[in-house]
This record gives sequence, C-alpha cells and structure tokens, in this order.
Amino acid sequence: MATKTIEYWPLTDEQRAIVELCAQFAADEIRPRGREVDEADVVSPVDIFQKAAEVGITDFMLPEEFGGGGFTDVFTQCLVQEQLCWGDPGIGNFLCSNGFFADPLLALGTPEQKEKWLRPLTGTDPVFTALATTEPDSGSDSASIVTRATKVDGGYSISGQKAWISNAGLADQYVVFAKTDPTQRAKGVSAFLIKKGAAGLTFGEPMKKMGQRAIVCREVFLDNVFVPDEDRLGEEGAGFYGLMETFDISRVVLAAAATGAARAAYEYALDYARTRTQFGKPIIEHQAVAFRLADMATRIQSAWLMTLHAARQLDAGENVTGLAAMAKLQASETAMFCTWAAVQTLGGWGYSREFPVEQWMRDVKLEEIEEGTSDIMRLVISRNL
Amino acid sequence: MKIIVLVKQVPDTFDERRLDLTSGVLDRATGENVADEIAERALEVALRYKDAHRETEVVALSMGPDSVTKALRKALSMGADSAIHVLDDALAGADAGCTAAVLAQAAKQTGFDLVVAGDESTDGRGGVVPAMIAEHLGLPHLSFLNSVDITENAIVGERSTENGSMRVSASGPAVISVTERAADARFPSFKGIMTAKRKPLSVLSLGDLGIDRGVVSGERGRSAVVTVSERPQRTAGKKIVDGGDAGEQLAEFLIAGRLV
Repeated sequence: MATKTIEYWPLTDEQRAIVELCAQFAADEIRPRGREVDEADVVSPVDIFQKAAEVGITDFMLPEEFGGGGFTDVFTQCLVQEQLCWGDPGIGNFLCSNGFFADPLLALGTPEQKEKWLRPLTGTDPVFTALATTEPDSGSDSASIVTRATKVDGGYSISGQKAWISNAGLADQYVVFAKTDPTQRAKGVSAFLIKKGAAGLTFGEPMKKMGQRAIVCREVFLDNVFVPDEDRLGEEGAGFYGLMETFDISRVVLAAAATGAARAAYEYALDYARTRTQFGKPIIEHQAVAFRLADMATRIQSAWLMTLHAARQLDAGENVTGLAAMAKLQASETAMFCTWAAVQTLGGWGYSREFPVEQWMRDVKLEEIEEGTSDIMRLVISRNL
Repeated sequence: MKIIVLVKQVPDTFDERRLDLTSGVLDRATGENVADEIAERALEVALRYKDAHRETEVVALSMGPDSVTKALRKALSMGADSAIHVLDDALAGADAGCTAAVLAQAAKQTGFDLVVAGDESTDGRGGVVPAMIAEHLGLPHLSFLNSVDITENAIVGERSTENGSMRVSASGPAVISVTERAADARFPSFKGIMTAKRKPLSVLSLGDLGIDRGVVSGERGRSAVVTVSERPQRTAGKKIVDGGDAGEQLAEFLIAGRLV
C-alpha cells in the first residue's frame, strides 16, 4: 500500500473489521478482474456478485427485519463503497447496486411492499434489481418523462421507453417511474414495482459504454405493462419526491465510490513515480510530477472528508440536499482529475491498456453524469445556499 | 469434535519489519499487526470440517500482547466459536520452547480432540512450535500437511518431500500443522463481524494456567539470543568471463551455493 490510512472519525471495532474485509475483498476478488470485465464490454461479473453475496456485501445496507445486514447508515455504506470502488469503479458499484434499488422502497414503500420486494435481495442467492427513470428525451429534467401510467381496472397500464437503465435485462425487479398525470411535471410522477417477465416488458441490446462496463445498461420498453394497485410505490404523484429523497443518499454513496477510485489512481501513480527513473532519478523527484501527486492527495483528503461529513449529517436526520450535492460534485471532479493525473504520471504506460489507469479514467467520467450531472449538482447547491 | 486452532499475530509482511538490534527481539511497534496468514488457513481447515459437522466447536488460541485481540476477533468473525488469549508480561520475548510449553498447557486445560496450526510463522519462521506442543502433550504430530482429511476417528494428510509425497495418518487426539496449500482462508462475513463481539474471548494469565512466572522469564528461557546483526547490503554479483571454462566456473558457483 502506498498510503497509510488514518481514521477521520473514530470507527467502531465492527466498522474497522468491515473496512478491512472490504479492502481485502477488493484486493483479492475485484482488482484482479477489472481489466477482463472492461474488455468483455457487456458482461456483468455475476460470479463476483455471488462471492460478494456470500460475504454479505450485497445486502449489508438493507434492514435486518427484511433479512439484510442492518447497516442502514450512510456512513458505513460510504466506508464499504470507497473500498470496493478502489478495487474497480464499475465492479464496486455493481456489487452494491441493490442498495440503490432499496432506497426508493425504503422511502415510499408500505411494510408489505418492503417485505415482498426487499427480502429477495438478501441472503446468499440474491436477485438483481434496476431503477428506471431516464428516457431518451428525459435525463436531467426527470420531471419531463413521458412514460405513461394510465389508470385501469385494478391497477395501471404502463407504456413508454427508458434508456440507460443499469442492470436492465439482468434484473429481476424494477422500480419504474411514469406519469400518472401528464398535465403535471414533478407532481405527476409515480413509481411502480415491476418484475421481469411481466407481459409487455422487453429490453434493448446492451448500450456500448465508455466505462464502468461491469454494469450493463439497456433500454427498457414498456408496452401496456399491467401493474396492480398494490405494486404502486407510494401515492400517485409521490414518485418524484421519493426519488429526490433517495438521491441525497445515493449521491453521497457515489461520492464515496468516486473517492475510492481516485485513491486507487493516486496510489498507483505514486508507486509508479517512486520506481520509474528518468534523467537520473525517480520521477517523483521531479517537481512537476511531485506537485501533481500532491494535488491528487490533497483533493482526495478533501473529497473523503466532505463525503463522510455529508454521510454523518444524513444519518443524523439533517436536511443535506446541498451538502450531498457538494460531496458528489467534489468527489466526482476529484476522481476525474486524479485518474487523468495518473495517466499523465504513467505517461506512455498510462495510455496502455496493460495498465489500469486509462480504464479508471474512463470509468469515473460517469460520476460526473449519473445520479445528477455536475451541472445539476451546481444547480442544487446554488438553490440550497 | 472440539478443534483448537493456533493463531499468531505477526507484523504485516507488506510492511517494513524490524528487529531490535540490541535485544534481538522483534519490534512489534512498527507497522500493522495482523493474524498470520497461515493461521487463517489452519482455521479454514477447521471451519470446513465444522461446515460439514455443525456441532463441531472451534476454539482460536493465541499467546501474545494486548493487540492479539484483533487477530482473535478476526478468527471469531470468520467462524470460530470462542477464543482464548494467553496474556502475561512475563511472556514478553518468549522463545519457541516457552511458547510451546504455554500453549500446550492452555490446550490441555481447555480440552480438545485436535489441534491445528500453521507450519511456520512469517516472522520467527522457526516452524517448531507445533511439534514441541505435540511432544508436551504426548500426542501424535502430523506436520507440513498440504491437504488433510479429518474424521471422528482419524486424521489423514498428505505431505510433500523433495523426493515425493507421503500419506500420513494418526488417530485423535493429535496435533497437525498445515502448509499454505492446505486451504484458502474464507473472508469474514458482515454477519460474522457482528456476531464476533458476542462470542466468548477469555484472557488467561500464566497464573490461570498454573505456570510459575519465574519459569518462563526471559533471563531463564532455554534459548538465548547471542548476537543480532543487520543483513549485509547486497553486493554486486560475480561476473564470469568465458575463457573456455565458463561452464566449470558456473558449475562451481552453483555447487558452492548448494543450488544443485
């Protein structure tokens, strides 16, 4: 290891043991597979997911009462995510993807819905899940979605098209956001729970991505998919607000993911700079290289502190929409910088696909886009000043 | 069946490890202390038996300073049922013989059907403690096992030598030591980490074991460190110029270095 980690906040013995477990899992099971998964392009590493399930990584964040590990606090989720994404950004996010599905369920679900839809995510043989909001014409402006949920006898009939849905096709369970009232924007959005195999639910081909290829994204086509009333998640019109609530959590967790990836790049570059010699000395002794590493280290410290601070505030029940956005913005831009800087530090070898840093640079670009682009983060922050 | 697994805490092999150059004692303050990897493999051997025989009791046993608790908690989170920590200031700097005597007594007091240990620690690398323990307990010792098959009545294992491999067996109770080929240690699970805290971890002093502190004090240990010196700097290798006899020079070099 290039760096020794000093604890930012006092961790309990269990949290320390969890961090150690995840660090070891990331080093042994994730990091060695990163390049292979990247080159496989559109194949999710379900075997790693299975190994992670056996250890409890895939359900640790779900409440114990539904069979999960019970670590529902965002702080622990950040500790875990940072370690896993240090291993590989895409694989790390893939392993914890059920946590993202659980968020709207926990925000909007009835006890019966939580039991029915969360329990299958727990244990050593969990199902995969997906969240479907984005459409071809509706990204940042999620209130402008046009997928329509028409009231019918006993439920709803849903038609429309989603794009960029992580785990679509692989997932057994879906949360789909659709307009129950097309005359409204946010207030017209409702959320629905759908299982794979529902009549009218089909998927497109895998979308070819720049990075984070461990997660396969596809379009989702809904052709008059019937959803019974009991599978509507939250009241009509509550969908959007449920989504916004869960974004606070998911953004902080993604900030942790980005920080882990940034740290991976920094440590790799640091080790390289200490051994590669040019002009008669290790390149770290050339100021240009040293200063770049100094910037990387500084920004990682800053991103991590911000992430954990936001997590703590969230766990304390504070309204942290602005802070969560700051954490994601800061961490994602730090990851972009650090991976770029790692490629730059490795020079020609940084450009080579024999080394991981160019992949990590492609991987972390997504964090400036998904779960709210950096532009949207600035919008959210400015509105919460 | 009750299986005792010997756990040793050692400095992380990836950190810099230091010997105190005056006393010859390992400087445990620098770097991280971790459960020795071979001990985790030994534990895995016991846990695999437990997976198949649920009523098996697995006890992790270690002798060492305060920080050993961490290694024992890891053993508990991996699936051991309880842990025993032998802790006493008089044991500071204990040699292999002393360690073996103390662990043997702790094992005897606890009771067991099988003791499983790693073949060699990554710090001291003596590789003798399990054999000494077997001797103290008057039990069969199966050493350096690459694979092991445990049943209620017998333990059978395979051991490699320079010339081939041996199949060895003993009836219980017995002491066995395993190599890194015996098993890959499992990860602790989140559940295991949470339940570890509730599992019993008892701390025993020499008095609790009925051992006189004076008998094992550093001054009267059975071995003594005579000199300690730093490993000499690596020197440049020898260059051979081929005047027609390079082959002979190379052969001499290899023979002298016992490399053939």
